Amino acid sequence: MSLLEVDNLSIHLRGGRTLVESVSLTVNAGEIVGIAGESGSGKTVTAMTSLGFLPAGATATGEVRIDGADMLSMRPKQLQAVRGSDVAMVFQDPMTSLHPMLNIGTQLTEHLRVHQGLKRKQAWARAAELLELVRLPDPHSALSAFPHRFSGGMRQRIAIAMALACGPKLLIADEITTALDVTVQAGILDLLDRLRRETGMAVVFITHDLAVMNVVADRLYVMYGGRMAENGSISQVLNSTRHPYTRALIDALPEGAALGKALVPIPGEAATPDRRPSGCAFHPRCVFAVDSCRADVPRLRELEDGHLAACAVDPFGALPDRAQLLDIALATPKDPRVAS
Amino acid sequence: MSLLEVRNVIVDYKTPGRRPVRAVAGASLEVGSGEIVGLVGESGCGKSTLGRGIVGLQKLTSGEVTLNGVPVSPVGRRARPRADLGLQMVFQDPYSSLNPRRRIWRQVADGLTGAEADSSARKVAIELLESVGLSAAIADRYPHEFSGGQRQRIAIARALAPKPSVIVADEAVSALDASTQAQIANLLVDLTRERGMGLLFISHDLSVVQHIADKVAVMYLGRIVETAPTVKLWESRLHPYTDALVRAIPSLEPDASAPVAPEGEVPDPAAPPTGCRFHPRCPVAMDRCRTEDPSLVIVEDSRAAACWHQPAGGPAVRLELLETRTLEPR
Repeated sequence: MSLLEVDNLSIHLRGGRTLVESVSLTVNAGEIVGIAGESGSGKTVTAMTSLGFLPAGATATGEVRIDGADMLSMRPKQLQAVRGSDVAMVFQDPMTSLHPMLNIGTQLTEHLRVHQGLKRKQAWARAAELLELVRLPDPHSALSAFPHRFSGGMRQRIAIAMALACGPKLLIADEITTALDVTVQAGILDLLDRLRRETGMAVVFITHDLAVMNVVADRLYVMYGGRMAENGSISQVLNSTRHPYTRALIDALPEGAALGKALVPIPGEAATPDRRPSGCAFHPRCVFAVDSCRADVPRLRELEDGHLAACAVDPFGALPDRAQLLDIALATPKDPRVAS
Repeated sequence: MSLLEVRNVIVDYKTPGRRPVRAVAGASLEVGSGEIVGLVGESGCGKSTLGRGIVGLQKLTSGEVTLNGVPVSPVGRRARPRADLGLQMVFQDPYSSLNPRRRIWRQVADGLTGAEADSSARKVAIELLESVGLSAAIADRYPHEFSGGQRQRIAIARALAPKPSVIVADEAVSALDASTQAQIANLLVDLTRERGMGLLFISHDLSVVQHIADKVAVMYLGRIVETAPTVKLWESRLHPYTDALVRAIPSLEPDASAPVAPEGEVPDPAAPPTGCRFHPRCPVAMDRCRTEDPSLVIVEDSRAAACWHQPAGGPAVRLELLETRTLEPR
C-alpha cells in the first residue's frame, strides 16, 4: 500500500467549473514525487485536497487515502489530528509563512505542545534539534529571535523545521524554492534528499521548474488544465518524453534550449478553469493537434512500464510518417502571441 | 565610448541610530548600443540598488553615471531633463507597476514627449502596444484584465514611449511562468536589437541571462567580482564565486549531479568581511585574501575578475587547477 493514494480525484466548483478532473497519483514512503505544470494546471489544488483542504464551495469526488485513511470523508477533528503530525506542508513564500511578531521558538514549539503534549522545556530543546537538523547556524540563539532577522533561505529552513516538528510521514512542498536564489535552492534540495534518506519521509514536490525536478524527484506527474498529461519515472518523462506539453515545457526552459539560441515559448495562453478548451485542453497550443484532439479528451494510456501519457497523436512515440508530421506542424499558426 | 557608463558607484543606505549599509561598494560597468548586459548575483548583493542608482531612482553616495556622455541626474520633484528620459526602467512586479484605475493606453502615453504627447498620443500608444505584441483592440482596457506576461508587455511598451537609448530591466521576467518568461525575454532581445538600445538585464537567474546577454557582470556583496562575454563565462569561470553560482544551477541533463550549495551564508552587508568579501566562503582562499581586498582587473580577452588568484593582464588561472593545489590550512 502506498503512503498517499489519490484515485480518480475530481474537484468541481459551484457553477460547474472544473479544477481537477480524474487525477490519480501515488506516493510511496521515502520517495520524492514531483507535480509539474503552469499556473492554473491544478497542481496545488490537488495537493491541498490531499490534506483535506478544499477551496470554498468546491466538491470533490474520488478517493484520497493517506496511510489507508480516507481524507475526503474525515471529520474536521480527525483531519486536524492528521495534519501537522502525519502530513505537513511548506509553502512558497517564507516571508508570509512565519508570524512576524512571535519569536521562532514560540512558533516551533506550538506544534510540539499541541500534537505531542511536550512540556515547554522539552519542546524548546526539541525545537533546537530541529533547527540543527535543517542546518540553521546557531540554533539556540535563533529560537529567541524574530523572523525579520533571517534571510529568505534561512526562513524557508525554519518553515521546513516547523513542518518536520512532529516527524511527518509525508511532506508537501509547494514551490518552496521558487522564490530563492539558486545557491540557497541547492541547499534546500540537498536537505530534502537527506531527510528522506534519514527518516524515510515522502515528499510531494510541486514546481514548474523541470530542471529542479530533474535533480530532486524520483517520479514526475505533469498536469495541464486540471488533468494528468504525463507521468512516469523522472528519466521516462524528461528523457523519453511522450506528451507534447511536457516537451514544450522543457523547450521553454533556458536550460533546455541550446546556448545562444532564442528561447522557445509555448504559443498562446495556459488553460485555466475558466477557459478550458474542448477535447484535449492543450490542443490550441499544440503543433501536433489533429481534428480529434479538438473533440475528444485523450485517455491516459500506459506506454511502457509505469510511463503514462494522455495524447491521442503520441508524436514522439510511434512516429507517423515524417512528411505527415511536418505538414501538421506547418499547418498550425506559429505564434498567435497574445489573444485580444 | 559606450552608451551607458557607470563609474565607481557607491550607494549607502543610512538608518538613524544604525551603521550605514554600503549596498553598492564601488561598481563600474558599461552598456553599448544594441548590447545586452546581464547583471547577476544573489538577493542582497546590491544589484537592484545599482540598477535603481543608474536610472536615478536612488541617490548615489559617490560615483558617476553618464548616458551618451551626459551625467544622469537623480529623479526629483521636478520633471526630468529631456536627456535623462533616454534611460528607462522595467520592474519585476507587473501587478504593482501599473496604475489599476487608468486605461492602459493612457499609461503608455505618459512617457511620450513633444508633439507626440498631444494630438497623436493615442495613435502612438497603440503603435507601441502593437510593437510589444499586443493588439490595438485592448488599448482601452484596465490592467486587471491582463495576465502577468501581458502586463509586463504593457510595462515594456510604456518604457519604450520616450524612445530610450538604454532600458534597465530589474528582474523583469522573474515573476513569470517558464513559458511566459521565454516570451518576454525574447521580446526584450528583439527590441534591443531592432532599436539599437542598450539593455541592462538584472536577474538572479543565471540560466536566463546566459541565453539573452552578450556580457555578464557578477555581483557579490556590493562589488562586481567578474565580468566576461557570456559565451566565455560558460566555458570557464575566473572567480570562485561565479563558479559557485554556476554549480548551484540544477541541470536538465539526464543523470545530472545534484547542484552544489556554496558553504556558509551571505554575510551581513553592514559588516562585510575584511579583505576579499568572498573569502569566508571561498574554497581556495589564501592568507592574502583575508587581509587585502582585490580590485576588478582585466585578466585576458576582455574578461575581468577581482580575485588574487587571477593576475592583472593574465594569463587566467583555471579554477580546477587551484582546487587541486595544496593549500595551507585555513
